[in-house]
Amino acid sequence: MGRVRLYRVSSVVVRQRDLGEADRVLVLYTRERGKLAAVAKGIRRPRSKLAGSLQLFSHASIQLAAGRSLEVVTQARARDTFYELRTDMVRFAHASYAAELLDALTDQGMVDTVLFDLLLSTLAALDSGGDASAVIRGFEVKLLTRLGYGPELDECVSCGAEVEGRGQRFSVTQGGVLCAKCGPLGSGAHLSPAGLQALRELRHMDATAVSGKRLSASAREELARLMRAFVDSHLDRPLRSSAFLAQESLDSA
Amino acid sequence: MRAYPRSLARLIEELEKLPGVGPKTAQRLALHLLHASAEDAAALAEAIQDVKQSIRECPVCFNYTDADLCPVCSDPHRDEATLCVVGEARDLLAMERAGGLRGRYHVLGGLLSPMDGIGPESLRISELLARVREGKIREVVLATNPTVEGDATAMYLAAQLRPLGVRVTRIALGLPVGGDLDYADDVTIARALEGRTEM
Ligand SMILES: [Zn+2]
Ligand SMILES: [Zn+2]
Repeated sequence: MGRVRLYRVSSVVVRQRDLGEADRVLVLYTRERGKLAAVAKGIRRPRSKLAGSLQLFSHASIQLAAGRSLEVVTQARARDTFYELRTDMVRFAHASYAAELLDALTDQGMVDTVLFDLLLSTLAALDSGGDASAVIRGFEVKLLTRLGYGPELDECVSCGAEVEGRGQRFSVTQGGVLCAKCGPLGSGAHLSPAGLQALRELRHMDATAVSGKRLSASAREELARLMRAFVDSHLDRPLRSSAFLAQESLDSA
Repeated sequence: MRAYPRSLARLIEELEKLPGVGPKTAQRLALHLLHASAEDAAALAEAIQDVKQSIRECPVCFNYTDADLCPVCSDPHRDEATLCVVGEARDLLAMERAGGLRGRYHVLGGLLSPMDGIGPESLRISELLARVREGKIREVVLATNPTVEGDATAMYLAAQLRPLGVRVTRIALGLPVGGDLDYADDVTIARALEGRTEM
């Protein structure tokens, strides 16, 4: 038997499922290797040394052993467990949505430190009580933009003309705003000037700044509906946490 | 699997569906059963069928039962004023094994988990609130797992229960018995401190 290859990464648990008697398979988003799946052996036993550091959403510094199909976690040290995320439903559900969305839109082996930092700052902003709706809209816009899906917010997606701040309509299928001329011809969704302005700002704000921003009730509702349709258009199947947010009426909370 | 006769292959296949049983273990168990006495094999088959036919959910607490009410609900010596809420029936069995609770139980049937699509209406929360509204219960002990889902569920339940005028408590979480303090992670130590008791 050759020597087992060990390596360290900085990771966030984005999904987990129980395996066998006491193990768990974790889907980790890591800074150094992107998304990967790893087994945490014995983690469901009360005395597990891994359990405290590898809960859902936990940011930890971990050591992995390369396995044949799955990596194996050999050590873990918590950097931040984002404990407050479990103290209320709004934060819990939004953090779940962020983790599920990142998982759904990324493939294993794709390394992107920008996305890792985005996930981390989003969880931190939700944890510290930032406006969940604004934080999540910011997360969506930055995540989708980084992955090359848009949304286009400056030029008309139909004719390329510059779109003024007045805002008109938004085409989910074409992935961006329509100008005053093209808007009425297409089947875009309504996008108010305030909504467009908010989306443009969210693109460039980091999560900490976003968390201090409160969206108006109407912008909140409008953007939740619009972004949900836009995000769904890039997914193979709708996210469970997205349905949860809608069902519990938390998505514009 | 080709090397096996059809009936043996079928047994291996069925065993492989069990949680925690991989192909190798399934093969070992199947061969073990093959060499077991006819009585032992029949007893196992009968036990499996019996469980499927006779075990239901207790209509009051949702524990497993083979009678109208489960053993806990039908025990008149149980304290009616204390209700312990657990995620799954197996958690109830663990609490009973430990034997520290004189009250009754309520099994939620899972824990809140947005990612798995499990919301309040998927769990027996309305049934829990209805039991508390009957007025005999004075304390509700929340004994869900100390995980993100378990804590979030406990927080949610506490908010629903408090307006009903009952005392709501959470089981103490902290250092495992027999563990070394310097091995414990920060969250565990912080929670052990929160749950400290008078001496
Ligand atoms: Zn145009
Ligand atoms: Zn019962």
